[in-house]
Amino acid sequence: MDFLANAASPLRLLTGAFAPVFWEPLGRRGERLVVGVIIENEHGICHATPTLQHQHLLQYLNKERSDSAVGVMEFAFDHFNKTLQAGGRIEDLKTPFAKMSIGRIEPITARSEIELTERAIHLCTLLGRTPDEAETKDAAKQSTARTREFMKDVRQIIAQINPQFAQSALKTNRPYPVGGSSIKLHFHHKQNFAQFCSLPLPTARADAATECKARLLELITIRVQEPSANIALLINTATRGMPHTGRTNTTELIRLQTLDMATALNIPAKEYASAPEAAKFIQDIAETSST
Amino acid sequence: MSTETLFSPPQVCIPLLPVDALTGQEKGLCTAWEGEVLPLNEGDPIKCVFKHLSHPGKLAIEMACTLAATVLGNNTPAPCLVLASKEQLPELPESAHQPGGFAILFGSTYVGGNSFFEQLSQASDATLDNSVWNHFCSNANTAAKGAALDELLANWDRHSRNMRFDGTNWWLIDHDQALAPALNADLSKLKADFVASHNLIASQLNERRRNDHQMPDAARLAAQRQNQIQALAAVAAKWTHAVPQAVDIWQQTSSLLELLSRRMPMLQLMINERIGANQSNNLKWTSSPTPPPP
Repeated sequence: MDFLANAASPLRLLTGAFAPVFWEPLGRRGERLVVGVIIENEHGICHATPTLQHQHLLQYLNKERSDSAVGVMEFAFDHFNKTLQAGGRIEDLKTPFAKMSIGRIEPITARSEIELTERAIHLCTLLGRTPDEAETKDAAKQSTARTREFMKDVRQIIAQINPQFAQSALKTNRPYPVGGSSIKLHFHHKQNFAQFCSLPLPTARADAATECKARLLELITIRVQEPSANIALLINTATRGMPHTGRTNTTELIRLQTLDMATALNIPAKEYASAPEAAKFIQDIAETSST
Repeated sequence: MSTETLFSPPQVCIPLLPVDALTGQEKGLCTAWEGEVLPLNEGDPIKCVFKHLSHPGKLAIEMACTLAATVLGNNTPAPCLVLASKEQLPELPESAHQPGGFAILFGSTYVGGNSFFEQLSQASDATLDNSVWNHFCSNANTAAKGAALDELLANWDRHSRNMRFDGTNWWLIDHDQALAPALNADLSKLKADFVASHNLIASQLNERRRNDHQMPDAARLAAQRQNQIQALAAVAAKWTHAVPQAVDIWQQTSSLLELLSRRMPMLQLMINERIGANQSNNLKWTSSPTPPPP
């Protein structure tokens, strides 16, 4: 009996699509937040939902700036939903503000409407599988290079510790054989938004401008190949040689969101401050995965 | 903007590079930028949107309209002048440059420095226009003040892209099409009773809040501030600066403020006429249907 062929079966996979909504609060510098997601269910019905939690904004931005950000997002998502309720499709949707954009539409499957929404949100906000268009921009190239350089260090350490991985570990996106399966590392960078979140700009401007250029949040997802799923997450919170901005910035906001999501999905998450730490965590995950 | 700030000369600044081009990047020409500017006198850098205006007389029109808007209690960013060289803004049209080697642009400073100052998407979108006008008119008092202002400024060009959003309030920007009869005119001889054929805020507010739009009250209250506009005109005439072009602009600003003060006694009549009259879409300018007061 083919359960998947039965439309009434709870095992039937629902198909839909989603697209992230980006906001560049301070201009075209490739410094973007994922502020929401637009989801289309299998009946073609769409809705938009913000993913940046109001309480996080209020907690980590000063009040005036967080109120302002919340108001901007409320207006945008109200506009999105009115347009979608009037029969609009994701591909036709336009953002109300010049610094907002809608990312690429990706297909998604789930076993229920709720799961469809949750998966779309997770894919946008946590695991970063949504293509980061900012990486193609000149302003972001240096940050991409820094992240690659870091990953190269991590791979070299893994190869030294475990010669079995030497061949694959030194090459980008090669799977690491682990028991009957293999793991793959995906890395992303999320540039800092220090100016977005820092306290009043006139007083903090000089520092914020430096930090904004310098800092980024590196995020590594560890994924098993079959079935394709993320099994662990690393967050680099100490970019080498760069000053820390304290905790009232958007890097912190992204970090908290990431940790919250990892907890919700029961995925091990580790924050590291050096390549050896990251390499050790990856090794541990690989060993756990192979047993 | 505080009263003290309002009666001080607007800042004259230079851009701190890099700045973001807001328009026309694909054509290699640009008329508006966003970024930080540094006041020449003193003070910290300020975030600013600044633009090149095709006619030098429009700098004074922008300045006068923005200052008047602030006096009348509207949400309008504080104005400044931005001096930029061709090296700093290579996308500037050749015609923008003054003999001294720099161009003078009109700047609108960010609101308070902390709030976001969002520009609407430029693509034409009727649904978005509807969302913006619904939101703008949800506060009848603010919208009515805006309608009275545009009537005073004879500003026909208040489409939704000439507003910016800070998360709560809409800020009125771009007044370079206002006071058009005053451009190249001898202001001392110009009759003050001209009206624009459109007042988009008035028509949107009238359409959405026909029974509680508050526009006559807003016009009456605005007209009561005639003395403040006159005082500002007198003060602006005495503003000085090391950059002589800035002083010229402020002299013109003063004359325009004087013209606005002469229009103020007619404001309530103009608004009443506007609400009751059919709006012409064919002509941008008409003679006033009502005679000026003695």
